Amino acid sequence: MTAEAAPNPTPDIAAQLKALQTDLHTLVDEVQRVIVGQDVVIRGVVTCLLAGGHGLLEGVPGLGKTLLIRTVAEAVSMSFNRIQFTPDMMPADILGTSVLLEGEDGAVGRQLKYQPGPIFANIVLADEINRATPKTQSALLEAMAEHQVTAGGQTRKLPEPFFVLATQNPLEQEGTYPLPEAQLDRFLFKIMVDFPNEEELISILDRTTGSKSQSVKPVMTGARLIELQQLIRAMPITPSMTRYVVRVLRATHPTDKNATEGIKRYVRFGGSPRGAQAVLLAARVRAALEGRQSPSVEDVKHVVPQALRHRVLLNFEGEAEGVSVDSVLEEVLAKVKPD
Amino acid sequence: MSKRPELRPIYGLLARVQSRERLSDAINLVLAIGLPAGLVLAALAVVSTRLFMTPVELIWLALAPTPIMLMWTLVRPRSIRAAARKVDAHYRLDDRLGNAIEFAEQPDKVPADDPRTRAMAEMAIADGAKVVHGLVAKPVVPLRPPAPRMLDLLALMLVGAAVLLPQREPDPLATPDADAGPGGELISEPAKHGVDMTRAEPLRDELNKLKTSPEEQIARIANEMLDVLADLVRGLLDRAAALQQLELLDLELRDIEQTIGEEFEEDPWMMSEAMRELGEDLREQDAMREVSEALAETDAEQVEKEMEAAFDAASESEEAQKQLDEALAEFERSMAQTAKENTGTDKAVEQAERELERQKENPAEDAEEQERELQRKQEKLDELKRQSEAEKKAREKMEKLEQLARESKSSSGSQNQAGEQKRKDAQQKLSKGTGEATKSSRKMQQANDVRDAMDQAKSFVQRSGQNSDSENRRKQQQERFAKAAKGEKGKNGKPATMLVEGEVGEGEGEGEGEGEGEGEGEGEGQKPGNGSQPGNGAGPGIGEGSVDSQGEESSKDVDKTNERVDADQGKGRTRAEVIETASQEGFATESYKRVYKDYESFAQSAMDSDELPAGQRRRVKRYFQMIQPQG
Repeated sequence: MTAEAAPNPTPDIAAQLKALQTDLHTLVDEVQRVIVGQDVVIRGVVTCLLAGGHGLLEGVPGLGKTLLIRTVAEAVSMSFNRIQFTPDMMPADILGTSVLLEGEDGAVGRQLKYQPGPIFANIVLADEINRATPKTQSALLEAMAEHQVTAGGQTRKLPEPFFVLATQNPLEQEGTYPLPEAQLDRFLFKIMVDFPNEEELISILDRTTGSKSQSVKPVMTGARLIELQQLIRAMPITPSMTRYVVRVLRATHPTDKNATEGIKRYVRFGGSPRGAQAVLLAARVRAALEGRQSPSVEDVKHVVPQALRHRVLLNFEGEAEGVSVDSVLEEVLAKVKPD
Repeated sequence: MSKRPELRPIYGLLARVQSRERLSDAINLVLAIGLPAGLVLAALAVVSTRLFMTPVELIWLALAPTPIMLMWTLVRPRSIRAAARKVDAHYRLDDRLGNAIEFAEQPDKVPADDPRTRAMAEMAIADGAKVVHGLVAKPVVPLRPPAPRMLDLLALMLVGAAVLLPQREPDPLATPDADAGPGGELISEPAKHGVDMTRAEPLRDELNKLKTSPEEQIARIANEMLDVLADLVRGLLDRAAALQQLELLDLELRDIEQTIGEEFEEDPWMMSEAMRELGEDLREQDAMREVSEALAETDAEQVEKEMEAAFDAASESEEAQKQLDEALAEFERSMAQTAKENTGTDKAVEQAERELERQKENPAEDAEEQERELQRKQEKLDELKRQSEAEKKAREKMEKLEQLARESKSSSGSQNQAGEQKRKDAQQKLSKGTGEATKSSRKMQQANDVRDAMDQAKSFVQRSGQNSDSENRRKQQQERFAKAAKGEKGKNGKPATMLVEGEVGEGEGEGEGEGEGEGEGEGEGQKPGNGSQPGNGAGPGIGEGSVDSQGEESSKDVDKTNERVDADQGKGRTRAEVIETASQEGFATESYKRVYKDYESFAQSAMDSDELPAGQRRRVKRYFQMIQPQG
């Protein structure tokens, strides 16, 4: 690689990377004006936005999942729809439906007109997604994978950028339906929302029980977000890093030679290729947030739990013994070494 | 690999890191593996030197692990990428150095579709070159010796224990005979070369006795056998060499035995037995008590001398003459009785003749087989005839001695001078004849003793090299033998068996049997025979009769349906149980030769370890000679 091959774009790229880092920090700071703590969750959601993937937030009710997503949507100044999933919700309630309308302005006859559903927005908050039946959940599959919906025999593109940020309650909660594996695989990250610590809780009470309410101002547009996504995807990855990610992913399969004892014993299926894509993209975002040009092993290790925890399926023994996927993935990361 | 100038500091740093890694590995391997391994080897070397007198130089083996460890650290391949990762991790550089050299070394792996990607890779290389300044290898790879472990302490204690082990005394037999005990005694030494000489004590005593024999050849053989055993214990000979020398001596001994057999027309075994019986019979006779003792010791010269003394003493008083006459009468009776004893050889000759005739009448299908059988049976017959002839001569000799004893009595002839002279001549001949008979008896007996000693020596040398497993197995088998002999229960409540368990193997067996339908004969032979002569005990035979026992098939119409019939339960084991046990214990899979060898080996072991009278020892030997497998 020489200077002739690339006509000295370095100063421009350096500036772009710097701007990216600044924009991201600004976005995070803006969200944190409303959301107290939850740094990991916020960074996870931002990573989803930059990587162009969907995010699934899991936590018990009342931890601010919905607020966080709404705040992020407000901060990026994009169209936002919230869908509250309930057991009686139908796919048409999400995708939209054709309705019969009288002719307008004196026109004769009636015609069917498609009424877009709430899925038509840049950011869709699928609140308590696991409260809907699997049939309704499946309505999101095409939208999430291909950014389009098919209804009434017509396929319609969704606005870009398009994100589904879903929240769900732990499966132990009553009245929940587990998400199908195919749908889970379409989420870039599964982010666990933990209960805030004492300091954070005090700060939350101060902010939410006073007379002054916090508001968020838009700090980023959709177009800028797309630019940043493209820049992130242009970040180079070393061959050894790609090999490392592949080895980690393969090691989550019980039949792989690098599989740990925990994987062999408790795992039914390992991560899909989408998992490896998610890891590499997320690692790039993390490197960009740190102001680096290329991700490191630490970046990969950092994002692996969020990117793979919903893609690794435990077997009956693992479920019965209450094994956490994160602990199994920790074993894998401890065993698999980079070149 | 193109090393770009701006990356040279990175490569320089990584080279220094790799050097320190080698050094660190060397320290760790030598201290963590080489040291305990060396200590263990040192302990083994010390133990070996103390107990087995191995050369002291063996201790240098303790140093062997160190060069091996050092060699491994030198040749072990190391990756420059791994070194870079280590530096990045230590200085928290987020793989900046590693990514820089990787992008620089593999530019073709950077996607070219987006110029920004290349630009960012270049930035990463420049970034790596920038951050390397000021980095040093020393803190990345600290040279710290590993902390002591329990294993190291144990290895050290092992060496301490080995050093405290007392040095074994040098082998007295390793020095010339001056260090040996009286008569060149072999001092038992259990440890060295695995040879336990305590078990050879009875053998050594016997050989020392035979060494002083007036029979020069026998004395020489005994002496040389003692030398072989001594050399074995000293380590001058190994087992194989000792066995080889014993085999050579065995060949010489066979020649001696043959010479003795040819030297006497009379059967030496019969004469020997007659002299032994005579000694026993004369023990109660005052006039010939000394003669009896000399006969017991097979001292021919002394026998002759004592008999002459007895004849001289008899002329001094009537009482003495009377006692002499009584002793001569006993002499006469003893000779007559021994001469009349039936050895069974004649019956064996008759049986051999019958077998030969039957073989001629019922020839084998194969002509060669027939010829071989005829030859074998003819040889057996000839041998028995020779034996019979020798026994006949021995009887004649005994009858002659009987006659001389009769003529030697005072009451045997007239009191005139001629009669007196005749009596004295007879007495003189009797003394001489008895002496000669004793001499032949002694020769044969001592040759037999040397033969016994030879067998014992071979057995001892062979068993001295067997490992402990084999010894244990033999002991277990002996215990089982003892249990079976006492009628105790064996394993799992099953009856103990005297059968020797063997490995079940594949193979073909070929056998032949013969016998007489009449099955008559007596089985006890009283007379010992030497190794070259066949036994003379004719046993009852089981064999094929000339008549087809099944006969022709009946033409009568009968119900051929099989019916299961339960056998009555009675005392003792049924035939089925015997067969079942035999099949489980392996009896049916053992060839007679092998079983014989085992049994003979046990008998030999017993004779080696127990004090056994010479007569009984001969009897056992004789028994095994009689039942030894042919061919």
